[in-house]
Amino acid sequence: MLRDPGAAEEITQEVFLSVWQNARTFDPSRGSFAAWVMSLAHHKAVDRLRRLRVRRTEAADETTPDAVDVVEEVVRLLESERVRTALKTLPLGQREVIVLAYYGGLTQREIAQRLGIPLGTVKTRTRDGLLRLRTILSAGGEEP
Amino acid sequence: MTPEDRDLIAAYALDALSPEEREAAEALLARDPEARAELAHFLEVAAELGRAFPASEPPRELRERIMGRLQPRARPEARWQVAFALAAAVAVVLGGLAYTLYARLVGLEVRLARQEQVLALLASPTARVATLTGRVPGSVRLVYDPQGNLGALVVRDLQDPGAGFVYQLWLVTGQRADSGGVFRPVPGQSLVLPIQADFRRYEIVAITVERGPLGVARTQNQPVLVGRL
Repeated sequence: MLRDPGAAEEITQEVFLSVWQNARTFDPSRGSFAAWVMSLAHHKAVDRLRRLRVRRTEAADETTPDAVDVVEEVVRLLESERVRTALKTLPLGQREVIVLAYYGGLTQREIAQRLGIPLGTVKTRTRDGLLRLRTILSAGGEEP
Repeated sequence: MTPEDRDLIAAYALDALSPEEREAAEALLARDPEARAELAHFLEVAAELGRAFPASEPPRELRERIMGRLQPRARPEARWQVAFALAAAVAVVLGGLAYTLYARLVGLEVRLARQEQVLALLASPTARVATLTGRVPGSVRLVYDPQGNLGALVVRDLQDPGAGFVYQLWLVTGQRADSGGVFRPVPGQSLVLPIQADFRRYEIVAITVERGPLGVARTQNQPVLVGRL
């Protein structure tokens, strides 16, 4: 279903509805409106992804031969030079957990399992990576 | 905040929590302004990650290459493929919306096009929201972009103004009130009315009840709903 070109529009509609239904929960102290809408959209998408995944759990092959390569492949796909460069500047461990979480829709527990590292390490790397990205992106100026 | 709290907020910004952990994060955010401030910063970073993804799906062969590498006996709907489609969808919704999707939606029915227009507006970093409150129950908001002259009134659960009457929107500055159009709510449905105006010129948005179907050029009535721009 999600490979259907209509999937994006469908999610657009869901996000749209969700924005209206949740508009009263928008709290300016939690950031800008655009970032809030973005987080709603991301949450919708991840939510859908996880529901699909639950149904397929028994069938799915949980081993990941090349998680590192996949992360690098995703980074290469990014259109924004600024974000690509920022991600590449991160130590591999931080880059991995952020890419798997945000673009892969994995929970921290799943990331720990996939990478075979302790959950605590995933948590620390996520936060350190985000802090570092924030510094790099806010210092990096405008998109070319 | 404890170090654990800080970790929780970071993971929350990336949607990397289980439902239970997410609840814990929501509770923390509700009680701790420092946590909310921290989240605000992280959400801006996350939004930037979202906008960085291509607005269309990545080329099929590339996706399949990644798939094949991840799962040698890959099923047609293995998770990364789905993840890519979803990530692309998110990017379409947010990043490329104004351009890519708008072009595709132009031919669709007016209601869809209007919603899309409003969503594009919402995705704009400069968009603001004014909530209207007053004598009649209902949810009425004006979403607008002061820099782009584009806005939309979003109406939900507003009572009927009565047979032969309409609601009329006003944009007010000083003693002057300019009409923003008339509407009647549709029971059980959200109504989205696109509005073009130079919002920087106005301080107040107000709604009166007027005789239908066209409303009036100058109102003598007290507003039933008012909001500040």
